[in-house]
Amino acid sequence: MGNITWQDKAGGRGRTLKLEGTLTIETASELKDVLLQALETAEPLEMDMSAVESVDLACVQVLCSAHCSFHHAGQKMTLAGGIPAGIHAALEALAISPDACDSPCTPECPWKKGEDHE
Amino acid sequence: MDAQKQLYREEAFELLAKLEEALIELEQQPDDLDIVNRIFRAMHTIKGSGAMFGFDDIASFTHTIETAYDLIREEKLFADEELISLTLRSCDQVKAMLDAPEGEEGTDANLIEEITASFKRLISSGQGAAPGQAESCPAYTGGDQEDGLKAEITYRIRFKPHRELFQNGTNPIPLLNEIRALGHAHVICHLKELPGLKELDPEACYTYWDIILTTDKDADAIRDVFIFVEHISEVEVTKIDDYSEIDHEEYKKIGEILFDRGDISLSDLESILGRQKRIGEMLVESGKARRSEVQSALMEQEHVRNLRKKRMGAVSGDSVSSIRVASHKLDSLVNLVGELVTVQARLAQLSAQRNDHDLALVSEEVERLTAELRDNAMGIRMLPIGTTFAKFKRLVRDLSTELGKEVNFTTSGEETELDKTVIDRLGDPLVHLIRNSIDHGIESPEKRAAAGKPAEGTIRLIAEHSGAHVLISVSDDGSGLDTEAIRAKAMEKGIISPDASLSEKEIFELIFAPGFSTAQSVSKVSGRGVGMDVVTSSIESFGGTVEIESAKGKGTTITLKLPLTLAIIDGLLVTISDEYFVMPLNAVVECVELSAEDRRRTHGRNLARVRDEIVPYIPLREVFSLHGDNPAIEQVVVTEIGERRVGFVVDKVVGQHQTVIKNLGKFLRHVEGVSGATIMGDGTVALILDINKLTQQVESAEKYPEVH
Repeated sequence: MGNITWQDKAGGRGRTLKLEGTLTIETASELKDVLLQALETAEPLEMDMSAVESVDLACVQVLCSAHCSFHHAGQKMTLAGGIPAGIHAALEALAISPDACDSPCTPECPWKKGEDHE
Repeated sequence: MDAQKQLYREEAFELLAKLEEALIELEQQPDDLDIVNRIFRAMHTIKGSGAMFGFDDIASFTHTIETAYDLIREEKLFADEELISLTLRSCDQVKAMLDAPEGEEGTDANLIEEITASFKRLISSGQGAAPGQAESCPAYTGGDQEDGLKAEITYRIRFKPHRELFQNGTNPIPLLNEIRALGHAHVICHLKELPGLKELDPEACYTYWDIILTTDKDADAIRDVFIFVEHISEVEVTKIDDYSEIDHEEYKKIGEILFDRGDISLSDLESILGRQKRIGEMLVESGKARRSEVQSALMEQEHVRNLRKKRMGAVSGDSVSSIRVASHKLDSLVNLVGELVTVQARLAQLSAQRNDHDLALVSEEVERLTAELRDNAMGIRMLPIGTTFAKFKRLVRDLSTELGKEVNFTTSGEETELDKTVIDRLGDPLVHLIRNSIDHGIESPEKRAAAGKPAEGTIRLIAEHSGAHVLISVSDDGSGLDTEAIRAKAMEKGIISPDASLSEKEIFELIFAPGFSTAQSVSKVSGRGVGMDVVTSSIESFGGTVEIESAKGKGTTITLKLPLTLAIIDGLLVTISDEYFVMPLNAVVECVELSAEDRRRTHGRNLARVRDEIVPYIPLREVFSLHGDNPAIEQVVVTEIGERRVGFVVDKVVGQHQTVIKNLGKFLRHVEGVSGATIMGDGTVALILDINKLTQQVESAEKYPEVH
């Protein structure tokens, strides 16, 4: 099962949204709600997906849509830590790649391989 | 034999050469299925085309062999030494069948039967290993029903699930993977329908895919993958390319692909086409198509283009398209170019005499074009030497087995190009050299072990470019040449006098003397005293040289230095008295003056001092017994023969000359020291000097007066 929690950053410098475990359609609604709330705060969002084991298309859609909405609102959405192999494998199997994406947020796409999104 | 049959024969011989090479590779890597596939395809082509052109005996014979290789492909049969030897024997049989005159059997029916029976035995053992397979090899019926080379078809698949895809628990990843498993697939994902976070239904599917799949399965097999999601998705399967499209590599333009898919309308396309940018960029910029759509169309274009390119490569046997031309047509082209070069020389001479500016301009233009035409025509005759190398692998395999030696044969520089005529004449000398290396060079495994060498000997065949020459060397890590034995043998045969003092190199060169052989016993392979002298005479006949290096106990290397071409060369035109001579320019190092004073200083010893180096020279006036007095200052043309420098004394050096080599004809063919003749601009004939032969003649006249 997937787990979505807010974690305080060291020194009280804001929070990180930590995603863990297996992110499936069962977690998709919760993920959307949390991200929507974060969008409405108008604050930059930092996420940590390094402990995600696998992800399905439903959750990838939520994350892509969120990234696009944050970009549209001029709000930063960044990744702390790398993208784990489980996510890469799912993206590859689904053929999701920034190369063939139309979204205006593509230049900052978190799915770009081997790049640091900090 | 009609032209089609002749063509089949030529192609079959080429395929057999490749087949033999692959078989020998397979022997070393019996698990490599790529090699098995190559063998299977070659057999399949020989069989299929054989039946088409009326070589039914070949078709039915190869059918059995092909069946065996099909079993190896399915890993039901192992390619062991027995099977490979049997296949090699079959190749020999197919060659014999190809060589047999039409209407005649020409081959040993018993042998064919024996080989076929052996194959059938192997096949049934292979089929026994996998229960459920057909029990015996079906007889060849003349048709080509094999599915081994099933034609591949390329499909465009659009898989667009409805929003409710996830609700029945469907995960698209296994579906996409199943499609990928059907063949070679490119998948592009479209997320353009994905709404903003607020509007997003997290349990709806907004994603769809375009897949370009090349497969040997049919459209129904593709639809079957989506059978459980049919009611909740759109699945479009369109054939976009099949095996019949081999005549052109070009595929649809991006605009056409997008229009075909329904991503843009015809009016969008037409309005954009009026502009000058790349169509994809224009469509994206104008908002008529999305980047992902263009990307997907580009991917389709690339996929099909690559596929067609590969297919064209497979059809022509090369990645570059090529045509097959009868070699006599090429010969006559080169002859005509030769004539043109001669006429051009006349034109140049005429224009020089007339001192006419306009004529000079035309003459220069013709000269430039002629030189280009010459290089092109010569280039067409160039072939990679690898075609000859392939057959030696078989030779080494057979000989080493016969002589009980273990030999590892390696080749390099197969891509080195040489004139076709040179390649044609190179086969026999190389066979002799390789035979000698195996027979005399490489020791038996026991002897090698005793000498602390690995049991397996190595023979290397290497080709490389070196200026206007190609160097081909055959080296072995065998016993090396025994100078004492060679010397003793040469004395016994009367080739040298007992008191001759010879350097190590000169002793090595004795093995090229006619009638020389040191083998203790005459074996089936070599040792009959012919061979090495045949090598030198045939290499020298077309202007090449042979060099030998050897170290006792370590091995021998024989290097052939060959001219790139035999038809037209760059020459240096010189005169002696009123006669013109041409020397091959690639051998010329420099020209220096020789005064009467210089001659006197050396007391008639024919030595010139060139930059503190003593260079022996050959006075050509004397060699050719030409009349007239030496001019006060003569010219020495210094040439490089092997590693030595030798000068040739002439009256005057005229300059560079494009030399079309003409044969001297039957009567003068054996005149030594002259390799041919050429026709000058004014119609006079100039002899082309064979500087190797001239040097040898003079040297032997001085060194071994007792023999000559």
